[in-house]
Amino acid sequence: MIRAEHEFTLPVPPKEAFALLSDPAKDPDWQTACKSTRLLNGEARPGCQYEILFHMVGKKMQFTVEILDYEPGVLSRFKTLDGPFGYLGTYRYSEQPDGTTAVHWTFEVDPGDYFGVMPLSLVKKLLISQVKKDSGRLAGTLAAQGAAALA
Amino acid sequence: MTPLSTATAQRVLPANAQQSGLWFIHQTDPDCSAYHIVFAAEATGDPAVGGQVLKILDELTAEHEALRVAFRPGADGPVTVVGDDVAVDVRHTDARGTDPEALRDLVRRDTRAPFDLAEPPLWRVHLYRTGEDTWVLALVMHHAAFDFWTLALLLGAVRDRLGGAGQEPVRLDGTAFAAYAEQQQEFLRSERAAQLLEDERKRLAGAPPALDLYGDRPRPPAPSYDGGSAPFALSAEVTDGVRRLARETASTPYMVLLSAYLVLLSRLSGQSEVMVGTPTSGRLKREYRNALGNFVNTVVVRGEVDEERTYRELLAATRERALGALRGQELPFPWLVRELAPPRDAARTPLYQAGFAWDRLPFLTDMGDFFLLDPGSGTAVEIAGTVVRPFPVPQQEGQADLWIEMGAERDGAYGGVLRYSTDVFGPATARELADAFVTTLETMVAEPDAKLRDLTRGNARQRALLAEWGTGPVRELPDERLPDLFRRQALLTPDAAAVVADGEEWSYGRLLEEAERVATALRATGVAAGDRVAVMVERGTGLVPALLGVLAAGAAYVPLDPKLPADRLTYMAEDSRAALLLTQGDLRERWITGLPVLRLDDLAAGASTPVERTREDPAAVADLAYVLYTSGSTGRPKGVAIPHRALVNLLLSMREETGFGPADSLLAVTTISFDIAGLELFLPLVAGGRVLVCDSATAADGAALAVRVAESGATWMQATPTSWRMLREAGWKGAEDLNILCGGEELPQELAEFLVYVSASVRNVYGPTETTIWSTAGLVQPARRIDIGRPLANTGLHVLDEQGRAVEPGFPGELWIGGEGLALGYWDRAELTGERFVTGLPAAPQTRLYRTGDRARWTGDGLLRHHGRLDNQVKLRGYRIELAEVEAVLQAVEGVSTAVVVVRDERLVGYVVPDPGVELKVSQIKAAAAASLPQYMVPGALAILDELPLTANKKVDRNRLPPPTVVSDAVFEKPRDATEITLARMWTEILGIPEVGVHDNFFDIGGHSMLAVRLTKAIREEWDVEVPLSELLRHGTIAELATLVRRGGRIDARTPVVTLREGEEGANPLFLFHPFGGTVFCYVELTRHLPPGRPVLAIEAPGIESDGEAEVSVEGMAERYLEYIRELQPTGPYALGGWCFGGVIGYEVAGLLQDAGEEVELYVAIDSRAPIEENIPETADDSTLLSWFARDLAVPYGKTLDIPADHLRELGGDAAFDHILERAAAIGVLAEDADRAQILRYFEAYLANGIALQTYLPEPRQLDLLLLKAKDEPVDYGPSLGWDRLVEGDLRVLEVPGDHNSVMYPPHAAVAAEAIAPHLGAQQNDDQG
Repeated sequence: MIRAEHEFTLPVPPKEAFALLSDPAKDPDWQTACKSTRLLNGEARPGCQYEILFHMVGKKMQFTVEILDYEPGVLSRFKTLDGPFGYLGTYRYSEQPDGTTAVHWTFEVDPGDYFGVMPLSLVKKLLISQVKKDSGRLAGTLAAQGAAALA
Repeated sequence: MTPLSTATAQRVLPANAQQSGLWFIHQTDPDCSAYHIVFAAEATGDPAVGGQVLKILDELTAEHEALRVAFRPGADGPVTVVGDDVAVDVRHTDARGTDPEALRDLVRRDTRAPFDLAEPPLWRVHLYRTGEDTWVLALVMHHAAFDFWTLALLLGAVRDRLGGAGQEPVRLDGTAFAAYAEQQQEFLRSERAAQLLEDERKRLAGAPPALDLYGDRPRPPAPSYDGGSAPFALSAEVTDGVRRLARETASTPYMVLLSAYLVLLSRLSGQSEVMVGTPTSGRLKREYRNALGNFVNTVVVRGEVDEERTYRELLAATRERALGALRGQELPFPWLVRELAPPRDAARTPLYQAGFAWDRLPFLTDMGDFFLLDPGSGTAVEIAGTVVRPFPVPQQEGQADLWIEMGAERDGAYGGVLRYSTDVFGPATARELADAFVTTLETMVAEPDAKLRDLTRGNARQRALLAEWGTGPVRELPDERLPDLFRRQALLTPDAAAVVADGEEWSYGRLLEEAERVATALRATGVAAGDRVAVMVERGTGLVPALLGVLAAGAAYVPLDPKLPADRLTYMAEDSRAALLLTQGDLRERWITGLPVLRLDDLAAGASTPVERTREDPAAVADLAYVLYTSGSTGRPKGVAIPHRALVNLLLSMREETGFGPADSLLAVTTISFDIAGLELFLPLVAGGRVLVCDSATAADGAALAVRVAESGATWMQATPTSWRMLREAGWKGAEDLNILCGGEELPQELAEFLVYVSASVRNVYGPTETTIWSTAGLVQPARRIDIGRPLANTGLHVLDEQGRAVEPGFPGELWIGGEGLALGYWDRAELTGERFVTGLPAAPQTRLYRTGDRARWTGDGLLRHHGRLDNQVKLRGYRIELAEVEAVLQAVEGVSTAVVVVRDERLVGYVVPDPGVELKVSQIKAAAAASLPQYMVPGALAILDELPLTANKKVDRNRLPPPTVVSDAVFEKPRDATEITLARMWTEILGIPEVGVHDNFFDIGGHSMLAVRLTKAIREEWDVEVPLSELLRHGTIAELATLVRRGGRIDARTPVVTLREGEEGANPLFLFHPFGGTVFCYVELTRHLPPGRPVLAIEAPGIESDGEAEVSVEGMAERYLEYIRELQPTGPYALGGWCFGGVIGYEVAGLLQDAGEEVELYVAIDSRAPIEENIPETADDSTLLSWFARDLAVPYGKTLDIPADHLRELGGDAAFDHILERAAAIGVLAEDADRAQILRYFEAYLANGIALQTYLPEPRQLDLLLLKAKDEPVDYGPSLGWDRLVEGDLRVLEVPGDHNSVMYPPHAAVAAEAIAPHLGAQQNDDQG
């Protein structure tokens, strides 16, 4: 079992951050490894199920996931129903004094021997690194958009 | 001792080269006492005088800096440190009531207590109170700081002050030593020194690399510096003779004595050319005459001895050679060694292994014989009312293999001491060598105009000793032949069991009956006395009566083993002119065409065809018992004609030696074509015992034979070492009632130890066929080195030199054998017989002797040692090598069953058979061999065989050994990891050479003691690992050192920055980032060709050396690496880049620097593909990366390791990884000591880099890039490898030769470096400007 976590800031209010990160339909927009998603039973909400396809380190992985919690601006949790291995993901949002949002991401995953000779420690580093990069890029984009709006 | 830390102010001064040399030796062996100079005396008088002596020493110490020195490591060796406030080290012992011998031992022990060369004073005084008014004083000085002259000056000064004259006649100079060191350093930089060096280079060119002395003990890989002393004295007459000869030849007594020493050494080593070290005072300038310190220097006399010349001629030559050596005496010996860089052997001192010192002081003359080990009993001087007598203490032992010191006199006659290394000689042999020196000198001085070869060797005592040792018991032989002895026994015990074979047991009566039946049948065919009868019979009950029957018929047998090739059998039958073949019907196919046949299984039928007898010289056949064929040098076997008398002598002598009796039984396992079978088949029959004939199939099968030994209940068995080993390998655990005879080959110590442990007794037996089976026998005692025993009855052993003179005990020579065992000669080979069987040698003019061709030597305590074959002398690169010694060491390696060493293509090749079920590694065997053998004796190639080819006689057939398929010679191999790279860089810098291979030995490629000091210092600074110099001497390759470093210290804690080149101080480095593999050895070749001056630093992946440190994003790497870079170079301009993935990391680092406002002077990417989506392979999963990892492991070695990813995917997980390891090891691309965990770290780093590359998709930047594109790379990634999508600054693409991999290796790396060079030049020019 791997437990990965990372905290980052997005230069938007919590609800806006939530709308970007916790809506599976938007995952391909900001997650480099995510190639597509398909909602299976309506919009994002608790009980919403969706398919998601990742390309990562030479592997294509498709999962069916269910949203467990969905509190806009506060929390979202999601768990796999089907796929090469199981995971449970969480985003927690909190507003910062400057109006931006601190996002605490946790990801619990049990990949078994899916990654072959790759040590789990590397898988964990990979997950964190990926989220770090993607969120950094997203933050950069949002900041640029904000600056453009101000201009 | 006064710790410098507590002493007050210190002065740091240079040390001279001689001191540095001794300091270095001390570093290699800090307990070494070989360089302690000792003066000891017994004093009787007022005890207050003792106090006065100490007070004077205190004063002198305070007055003279030289008495307060110590040494500390400096940048290039030691420096002298002078303490201001150093107390004399006085050690008091109350020895009243101590037994004189015990006191002597105590003084000897105390004076050997080691010094710490870092702490002054480097001398001390031991005072032993032995009575109310008697005491013993011992003054000990370390030679690194002082010389013998200094000791005498000090004694003189004490004596003068005690005498109360008030004024010293000699004013000591306690500071000149420092000026001397400075002047020496300056001199060594001078033109004159260069010229002298050149002269020395010429004079010593081609000198033998070592004095190969045949010793009592196997030489250890590094000298222990332990030794002993053997004093000697010349008579007054010889002393006069020496002086007279010196006068007559305008030479000196030193030269006369040295000449005799050269003769001794030449005879001892078998070398005509010998190198002798000889000390000179080194006080060439008057100003150093009264100086305290160590000024002694050693020069090397290159002596040559020709036994055809006279002593006077030798002396004239030696005079010239000694003067030639003295011309270079200003060059300090350690410096000379360093400059000449002779081939080094860690087991020996460089350039010379024997020394001759002539110490005569120009003062203190009335105390001359105080320095003798054996002074006159009446020697005494009176000082301040105290009577002082010599108290000789052995000293300075073990500095070299042999060392003679002379100069002192007793009663007008020269005395001296022979010092020896106990690594090589025992005390008894050393005593004989000292005697031999005296006798050699006496003989030559008495007849200086006789050729050396004509002079007698040894003295009467030694000759008597040799005669005693070499003569077997004298026993009268009965006038009977073997059949007569057997008949007598058979009549005595007709019902006793005689032969057992094939489940059948024959009594003596039955055997006699059968033998006589054979004899009768032979006679009936016409066979008569003197005829030869070829006997070809299967091993069984029939074999013994067949042989006995032939002898009973008066004929001689020619044994033919039916298993030998037909051609060889035919040759033996024809060459011996056999009249008949005595054989069995079952062997019809082996019968020899044209030869009448008599069948044992149908004797009544008579001969198949009429027997034709040949007319022979009656003398040649009168007493002939058998003709036995042995291998001949021409490839055709030669027959050895053995007479009855010799056979009877052997049997009766061995009966006596072994005590074989009626209750004994012998399991006969040897083929009849090997002469030793005669002992097996006949010894029991002349002793009333039983012969248990083992069939040949069982004899050849270790497991079956082990069962047979156990079941047979045999009390004796004889076999070659090879056969005994075969038994052991088959799991034989021994038999406590079994007595063992082992012979026919060298008996290895480890096998002997095994056999002794598992049997009732072991006898090593030795003898050539020509002296009838065995000539010596000796009980093996495991605690003692193997010798070949004592001569059998009526046998004489003679160790002779080339002139046929008996050599003195301790000296090597050829073994000659005389006595009743001698063959009649070679059958039908009169000329060869004349060469090998000789009468009229000087050592035994009346005796017929057989020349064995074996080198042998009597030790001083009368043991005969075998030193291999004379005609098989191996000499490689000037070193004489005893193959048996190398074999013994290989065989002692755990898991090795058998080993054979031969010379092929000018190198030693070892063949090793492992113990059953054991998997041996060549590296493991070599490492074990290197731990016990000097480097030149370690086989350069080793082959591991399932079994060794054997001759029919169960000896190893060296001619059929295959060419070695596993070769581990020191071929050039590049460094394989960061540790090796760093070490290689240190070596190239320290040695001043462009490149080194990981198996090159530091001392073979120009390293020397002082450079070794620098290397150990560099290692200490890099890794905080102490590598003792002694270890460096023994583990002198980069591969070995890297292992030491890895085991030794903080390597895990260091930063991942590897210094590929130090460069010039102040110059900004070029930073290179690791490629995909994570290591940086790929940059070694590139660095070699980059312009000098600029440091080159490479950053390897942190995960390579530390668990869990692997970084999975280029951004993370860049941040981290930038921290390392900033530590080393806080501000720009920066030069950076890398090959492959290294260039990608460079992009990110360059970007970060740019963001920080720093100037990037150079960003270079060598065949790096741009990190863009299109360049990311789609299927780079873990198995693909593992497949690439395997491929990339092999690339630096120019090898291929392609393992399909699919295959690895199938294997999965650990199995896939282990598969990679196995395949990589099989083609030799992993470091020999690389462990799984380490390789796993490598792979983890590789994976992490793979992940990082796949997940790195940076934005374009305003950067300049120099891209070197490998023009021969078959995979097309576009003209700029995609960089035009990212680089918005100046993108310069240069095509360089090679593909993606080969671009970094020779010869292409040089071109890549050339392409980069202009972009580094500006920085360098600026710095220089």
